[in-house]
Amino acid sequence: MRKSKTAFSWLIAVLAVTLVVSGCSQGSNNSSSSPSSSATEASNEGDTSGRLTDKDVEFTIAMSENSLQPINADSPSLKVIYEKTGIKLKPVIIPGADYATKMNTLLVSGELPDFFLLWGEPMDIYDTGALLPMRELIKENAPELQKYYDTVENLDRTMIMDDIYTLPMIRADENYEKGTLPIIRTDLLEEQGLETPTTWDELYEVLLKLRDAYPDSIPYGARGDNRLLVDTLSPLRSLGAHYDLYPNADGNWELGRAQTSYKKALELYNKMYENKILDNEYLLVDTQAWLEGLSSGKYLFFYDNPVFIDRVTQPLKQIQPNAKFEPLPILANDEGERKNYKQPDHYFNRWGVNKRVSDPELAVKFLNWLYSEEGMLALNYGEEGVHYELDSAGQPQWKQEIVDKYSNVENPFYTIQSDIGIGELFFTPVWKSSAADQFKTTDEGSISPLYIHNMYKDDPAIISIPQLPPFTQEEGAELKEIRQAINDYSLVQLNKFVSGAKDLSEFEQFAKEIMDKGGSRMEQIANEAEKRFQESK
Amino acid sequence: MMESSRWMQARRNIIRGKYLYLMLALPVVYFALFKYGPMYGVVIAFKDFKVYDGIMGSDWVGLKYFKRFLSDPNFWTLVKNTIVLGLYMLIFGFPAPILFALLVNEIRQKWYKKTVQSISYLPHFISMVVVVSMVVTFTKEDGLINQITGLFGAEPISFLLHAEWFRTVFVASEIWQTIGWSSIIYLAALSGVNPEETEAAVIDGANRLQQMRYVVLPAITPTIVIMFIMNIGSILDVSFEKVLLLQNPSIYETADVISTYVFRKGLEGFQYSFATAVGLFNSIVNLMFLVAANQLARKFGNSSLW
Repeated sequence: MRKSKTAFSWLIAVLAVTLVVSGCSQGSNNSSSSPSSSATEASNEGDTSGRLTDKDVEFTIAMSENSLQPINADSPSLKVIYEKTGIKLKPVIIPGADYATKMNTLLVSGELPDFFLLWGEPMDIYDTGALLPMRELIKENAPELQKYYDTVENLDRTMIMDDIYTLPMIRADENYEKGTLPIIRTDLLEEQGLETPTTWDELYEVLLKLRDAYPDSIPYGARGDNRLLVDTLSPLRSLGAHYDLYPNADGNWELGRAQTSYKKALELYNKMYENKILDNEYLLVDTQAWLEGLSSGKYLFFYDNPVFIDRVTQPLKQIQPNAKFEPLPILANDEGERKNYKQPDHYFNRWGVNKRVSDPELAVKFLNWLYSEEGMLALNYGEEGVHYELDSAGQPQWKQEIVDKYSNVENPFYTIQSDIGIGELFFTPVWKSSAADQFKTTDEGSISPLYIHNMYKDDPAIISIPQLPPFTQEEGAELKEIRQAINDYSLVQLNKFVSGAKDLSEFEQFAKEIMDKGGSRMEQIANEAEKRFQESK
Repeated sequence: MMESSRWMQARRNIIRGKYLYLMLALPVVYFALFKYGPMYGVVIAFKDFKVYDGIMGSDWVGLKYFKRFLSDPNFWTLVKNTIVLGLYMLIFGFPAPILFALLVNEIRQKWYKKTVQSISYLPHFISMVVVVSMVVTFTKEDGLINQITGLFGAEPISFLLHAEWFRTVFVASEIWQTIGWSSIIYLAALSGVNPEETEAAVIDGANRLQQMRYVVLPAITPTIVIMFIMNIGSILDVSFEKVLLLQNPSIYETADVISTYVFRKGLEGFQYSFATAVGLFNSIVNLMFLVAANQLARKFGNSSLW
C-alpha cells in the first residue's frame, strides 16, 4: 500500500514538473511571439546604396494561392525587392480555399505574418488588435502611399477610428473587372433559335426552353448559396436586391434581406428551383463540382466571375466542339432597372500589417517602396533587363526572349505570372492589370478580361460596390454580434424560401424577426456612422 | 527518522522499477503537454479575450459568455442535436463492432476471415474529406443509393438536403467507416476466451448461438463495459470534421452540433471567448455523462473505470 502511495506521489511530482516546464516554454513562446522574431539580421556585405536598411531584414507575408497561378516562393520579383530594398519578403503560402481558416489559426497562435491580405470583415480583425495603426507612420515615412489617401475617392471610408489600419491594392490602370456577370451557352441559344435574353423574365423563359431541349442538363448551375443569396457580387444587385447593408435611393443604409426587393429575388429563385431550372442541389455544389458541371455540359448558364469562361470552355469543346459560353448584357429586373456591382475602380483587395511587426517604421518605409514606381514595376514585370526593358517613353516592354519563351507554353498568362511572381494572384500593392495582356489566350472565341472590359466599359449599369462608413470599435463589435446572431438564421430561412420548404407568404414575418433581432440596430449604427463621417469631411 | 526511511523506501522502489517509470514517463509527458497544458487556455471563456492583449491582459468578464450561450436561440437545438447524434451513435454505432467481431470470430476459414477483416479496416484509413465526398456523391439525387432505391420504384431524394435524413446518413456512414477498426479490441478480447469453456458448452449440448450467448459474450463483457463507459464519456464529441463537411444551411435544424457551432463562432467569427465557453460547456456535460455511466456500471455490473 505504502509502495503504491510513494509511486503515486512520484507520478504527481513528474506531472507537476512537466506542467511547469510546459508552462514556462509556453510563456517564453509568448514573450517572443513577435512575427519577425525570426527575422535574419546579418550584416550586409554588398552595396547598400538606395536600400532601406543596411542590414538584411526579413518580413513575412501571407499569400492566398489560387490554383490558376501557383506561388513561387523564390520568385524573381522577390529577388528584385531584396536587391533594391535589402528586405527579404518571405511568402507564407496558403491555399485560397483555406485562407480564412488558416489565417484565423495563425492569428490565435500568435504566428500571424507581418503582412497579409485581410480574410474577413476589417472591423473583426481590427477588434483582435492585430492591425498596425499607420496614419502617422505613413504621413512621416510613406509619401507614395499618402498620395493615394489624398487623391483616391472614398479611400477614407476604409479608415478605422480615424486611423489607417488597412491598405488598398491600387489599380494602376483601367479597371477591367466588371463583377460577376450572366453567362450563357450561346451556341445552344443559336441551336434552338432563341433570342438573347435582355431581362430576367426573358432569361427565365429561355432557360425553361433549354431545360426542355436538353433534359440531361440543368440550366442554371451555382456554387453554393453564397453566390445566390449572400455575396455582394451575386445576381442580387441585378435583381434589384441586396443581402446586407446598402444605401437606398435616399442615401440611408438599409438591411437588404428584410426588404421587399429581396422577396422578389427569392420568388424568382424559387420559381427556378421548382421548375428545375436552378440546380436543386446547389447547396452541395462546391467550386470544383461546379466547374466540372460547366465543363461537362451539365450546366448551361451561370452568374459568376467571367474568368471561368475560358477555363471551362476548353474541356467542354473536347466533347461539344461548338460549345461557347458568352456573357449577356446586364439584365433588366422587373422594374426595368439595369444594375450590376463591380469592385471600385481605383482600388480592390485590402491588406494589413501585423501590429507586432519588428520594425514598424521600416515596414512602412518598405510599403512606401512597394507603392512606388519601382515597386510597381517589380511586382508587375519582374526584373529590368531580364524580363522587361523601359522604352524611350519610359514604359516597360517585355523582352523578346521572354515573349518567345512564354508564347508556346500552355496557359501563358498565368504561367509567366507564376514563374516571375507578379500580378493580382501574386501580391501587387499597385496592380497594372494590362501588364501581361499580351500573354493572354488569343484563341478565336476566347473571352479575355479585355473582351469583357470592352463589352461593358461604356455601360452605366456597372456600378461600384458601395462602401460602408468607418465605424467605432464599439459599433464594429456590436455589428459583429448582431451579424453572428442573425446570419445563420437568415441562411437557413432563405434557403428554405428558395426550395419552397417555407412559403414566401412568411417572408414578412422573417423580415420582422430579423429586424427585431438586431437588423434595425444595424441600420441605426450604419446611419449614425454615415452622418458622423459626412460631418467630419 | 521515519521521514528519511520513507524516502529511502521510495528511492529503492524507483530504482527497482526504473524501466517501468521510464515507460510511464512518455505518456505522462504527452498528456501533460498536449492535454493538461493547453487547459490553461480555457480561462479565456471567463475573459473578454483579445488575441493581442494576451490571456492575462484581457478583461475578466466572469460567466458572461456562458450566460450568452444559455440564452442563445440556438442553444436547445445545438444541445438536442449533439445529444441525439451521440445517442444514435451509442445505440447503433456502439454495438455494431461487437456484433461484427462476434460474427468474424465464428468464421472458420482463415483466409476468408482475414479478407473480411482487412476489407473492414480499409475505410478507417481513408481521409475524412474523401469519405465525406464519397458520402455526398452516393447520397445525391443521381447517386448510388438513389439508383438502388430507384430499382424498387422509390422517388429519388437528395438526402443531404433534407434535415430528417441527416442523422441516418451520418450514423450509417460512421458505422461503415469505423466498424472494422473498432472491432479489433473485441476480437482481441475474444481471442482470450478459454477454449475449454467453449468445449464444455459443446459437450453440454450448446449450439453456436448458445455458446456465443453463455460463454463468449460473458467473457468479453468487461471489455464491452469499459468501452461503453468511455463511449458515454465522449457522447457529445460527435465526429466534428464529418458533421462540418456534411452539413449545409438547409439541414442545420438537425446537423448543427455544438462543435461545429464553436468552429463557426470561434475560428470563423473571431468570438474566441464565446466559443471557448461553449466548448467548456460541452466538456462539462461530457464529464457528467462519464461519471453517471461509471456509477451505473459500478452499481449494476462488476466493471467500472474507478
